[in-house]
This record gives sequence, structure tokens and C-alpha cells, in this order.
Amino acid sequence: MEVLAETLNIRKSYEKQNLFSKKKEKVPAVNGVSLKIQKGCSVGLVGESGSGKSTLGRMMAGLETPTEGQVLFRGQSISNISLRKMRPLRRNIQMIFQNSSSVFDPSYTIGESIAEVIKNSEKVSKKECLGKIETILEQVGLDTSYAQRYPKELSGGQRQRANIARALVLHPEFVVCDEPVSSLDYSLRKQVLTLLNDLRNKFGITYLFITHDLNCVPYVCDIMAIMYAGKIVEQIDLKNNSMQNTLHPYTSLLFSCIPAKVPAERKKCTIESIIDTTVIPDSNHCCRFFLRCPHYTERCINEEPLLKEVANGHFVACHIV
Amino acid sequence: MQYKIDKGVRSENVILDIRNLSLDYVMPDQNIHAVIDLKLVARMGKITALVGESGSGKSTVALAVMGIQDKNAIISNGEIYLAGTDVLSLPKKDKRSYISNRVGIIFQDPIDSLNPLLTIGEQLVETVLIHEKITKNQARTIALNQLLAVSLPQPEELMKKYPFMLSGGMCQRVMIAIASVFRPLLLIADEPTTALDVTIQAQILHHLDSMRKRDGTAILLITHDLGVVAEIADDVCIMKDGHIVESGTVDDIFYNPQHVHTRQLLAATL
Repeated sequence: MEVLAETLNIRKSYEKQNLFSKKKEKVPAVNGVSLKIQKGCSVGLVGESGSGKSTLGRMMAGLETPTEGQVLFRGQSISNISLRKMRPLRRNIQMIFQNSSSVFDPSYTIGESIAEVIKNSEKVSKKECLGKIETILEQVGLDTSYAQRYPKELSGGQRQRANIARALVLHPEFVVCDEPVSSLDYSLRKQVLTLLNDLRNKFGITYLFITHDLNCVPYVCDIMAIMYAGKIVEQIDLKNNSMQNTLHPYTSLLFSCIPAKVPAERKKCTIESIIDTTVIPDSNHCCRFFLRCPHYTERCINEEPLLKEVANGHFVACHIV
Repeated sequence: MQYKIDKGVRSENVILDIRNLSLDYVMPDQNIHAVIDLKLVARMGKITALVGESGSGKSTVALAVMGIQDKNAIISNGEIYLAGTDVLSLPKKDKRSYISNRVGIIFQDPIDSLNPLLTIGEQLVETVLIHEKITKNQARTIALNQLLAVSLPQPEELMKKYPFMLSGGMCQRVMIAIASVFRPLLLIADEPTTALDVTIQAQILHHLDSMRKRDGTAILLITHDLGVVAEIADDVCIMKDGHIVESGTVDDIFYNPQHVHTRQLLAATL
């Protein structure tokens, strides 16, 4: 299968200026991630807030430049190219942002906002442009009259649909979805996920689906990658492996935190096992999870675990597995 | 002045008893009926979940119980019995102290609900001093214990920090610490975990659970997440467009839902 997007050991750190001295502090967000996304094979990126999953997504969408490493799209580096060269690629790489209310210009109608996207990469007549807008609005399940409405006149769920329409109007090949459903109501969540799935089947889109909700992942993704402290700690191919077969202690922690589906499944006392610390060890020569890990050994403190394949399409970075 | 008192409810451990509450938002061109003929009961040591989609009026109920609804919100009918007294019949000067001594509230966005200009310690001590006539040092000790109770690490250090220096989950636990410092009879939690990660959510739910077991606090949990409800609630009320369409124990709602809307909500579970 063709590799669509790829990251080669990318790192990104942000500089934090100290208020009172000239000292600059480096805050690492992504710490050496190599990820291959094959065409038609959507990847779900799961982690807590602060794990660097959004930064990785933004770098893969070409919105951030990595401090080290390369992002390749169809074998071509997109991390250091000029904006002019980026423009033709942009129509194939799109992003669905988390907060749909800040995506749209409040003084533009939904139709005008979407038209802006089309005009940026295609020379089309007004009529064709209008036709495209109407088609995509219908495809995301909105009435065509919504093109004349302003963002504030739409409810959260409708605006998220319009947001999806904006990202997909050019039929991109690769779409980064940054928590597309986490700001939505429970009942709308399933609708939007089903919509993303339908559109994927219709247009052959490949998603990088960023979320902190493990329940969403099997709906839209073929591969699940768990991120912790800027690194991928587990990657599992959901076609060949069951989601329950995950091995990394962090993944089990995430699974144990999912609320029960029905009252009979209530867990007893698992919450005590969540060791309460968000402290991440500074050193690059230890497992970054060991302070929270219930099974850590001396090896975890002295040596950093690397991703290794434990089953077909299943990678884990942990010494004890 | 004689307040409306209902002694009967006290015996049944009922902390909050909302009877036929109707609330309208008065707008220049129209009136919106946000809450219509709502009945709801919260009992001591139990978690009552109020579930509904956004716009169904569940937060309005929370604000009405606290007496902090918007100025254009008019309560047209009904009674809110809090620990046996109808708070709507209380004169304005008694209302605030009556409610604030009995009810604590935590909101959806933990960072916004703390004062950014005061340290965590100042905010906690301030709350303690409002409710009890003690010295500042005693208040400090209470505040420290309170932070330990919600298992925040290094409370001494934390007292000196400002809200922006903490993560969302830590802020929410500080909010629980503040809301529970005077051992309220009722805690209203308005979407307490919606903005948080699953791991933090599990911690917050754990603290709510231990609070009702330890202090016998009645908790009114407002949420749209049925997963949270299945995990922790005892009684459930499903709300839609200002009405309670179905209410019952958590087992009734999950295993034997009657109303169409309840079934739709359950079907939307991932």
C-alpha cells in the first residue's frame, strides 16, 4: 500500500520566556515520533491533554514546523517548504479543528467561508462554486439554505457539520481531525462520527483522528496509536488485533477510566490505581511513564523503552511486555 | 415573617425537593419557557443525575436552586424546598446566607470559576472565613486538610499558586475543595467533567463519590454523558425542552427505558 503521510523522528519544542530573567525554557511537546499513514488506513491518535497529540497533528497538516525531523506527504517534505509551494498541496491536506465556533469568520456567511476555500485553489465560476457548496452541504446533512446563514445562527452540531464541509469541500486525500466531537453533545457525537465514516467511504479520505475518547476510535480508525509525553507508546492495528489486546500499562489505565456503559458494569476500586501525578521525568534515558506505572522495575528508570513489534501490526514501547 | 416550611420532607432524608417549578426567560420579543413544571428530589448521600442535551434547561435548574439565575429569568410557578424550607419564599436578605450555607456548586469550566488574581490559598481561606468565625490560621489549617481530602499533592506549595499555574483537573479538584469546605447538604455539579480527560474524569467522579459517602452530601449531577451516569448515579431524571420526560433509579433508566427520548439517548451511546 502507498504511504500517504509520514513523519521521520520529528520533535517539536516550544520556548517559554521566563518573566523575570532572559532565560528561555524549552518545553518539549513532541519527542521523536515516527508514524506512517497508509492511504485509506485511518489512524486514531489517543492521549491525555498535554501529550502532544494536537501538536503532532498540526505538524502533519503543515501548520507547525518541527524543530527536528521531517514530515513527508507522498514522499515530499512539507515541513520546510515555502507557502507558495505549500498552496497546491494544501488542497490535499486539510484539518478539522476542535472548536467550530472559532473556525468561521463571524462576519461571513457559511457559504462565503466555504467559497473562500474553493477560490484559494481552483479557478471556478460563481455558479460552479455555488454548486460545489450546495453539494457538500447536502453531503454533510445540512440544508442548502444554511449557506446564507451566519455562524452564530447555527447550533453547535450544525456548525461542526459546516466545519467538516469546509474541510472536505475540495475532496482532500488526507484530513487531520483534531477532537472533532469532543465539544459536542452525547447524542450528536455518534451522528458526526457516522458522517465522517460515510464521507471516508465516499471520497476515500484518510484520517488522522485525534481524540482523548477511546470509545470513538473503533468507529473511524483502522489503527490506534497511544501517545504519552510526546511519544507513541503503543500502536495497534485494529483489523488484525482486538482493541482489548493492548499491553502498555498506560493504555490499560486509559481503558480502566472509561465510565461503565450500564450500571451493572461499574468497576470497584479501580480508581485507587490511578497514581496521581502528572510529573514527567526530564531525563531522556528512562521510561517516561514509570512514575505512574504500577509495575515499573529498575530497568525502566535506566533505559528508555523503544517501540517493538509484539504481534502482527501491534507495537509496544515497554520493558515489561 | 413565616417561611414556607415542610417538615414532612425532613424525615425522608430529602435535601432538595423541587415542586412544579416553571421558569421563563423574558426577552424583548418573546418569552422562552426554559423549565416547565419540573419535579425533582435529591436525597441525602445519593447522587441524582439530571440528564439532557444542551439547551434542555438543566443548567437553568441549577442556577435557580442557587438563586443566581439571570435577571431576565422569572420563576412563574413552583417551590424549591431546600432542607425543608422553600427558598423562593425567603426574603432577599436571608436568602443568600441560607442557600450558601447549605449548597455548594461546581461549574463546567474549572479555570474560569476561580479568581485569576488570587492564589488558591487565599480563595480557600476566604471561603472558610465567610462560613465560620475563626482566625486566619485556623482557616488555613482547614484549607490544607481540604486540599488533602481531594488528594492534591503538596498542598503547602499549592496554596501559593495561581489558578493559571494548574491544570484543568487540578482546578476542578480545588473547586470541589472550596465547594465542600463547609460540609454542604447539597452539592450541585454542573457538567463537572465535560472539559476534562478520561483519567481526570475518573478521579473527579471518585472524589464526588467519596464526598457523599463521607459527609452524606446529596449531589445533583448535571451532565449529558450517560457513561458518567451509569458509573456513579443512583437516581436519574431525563430532561428535554424544559420537561422531565422520565425519572427513576439508574437501573430503571438503563434496563427498562420508557420514554422515546431516553431510548434515543441510550442508542447514541458509543
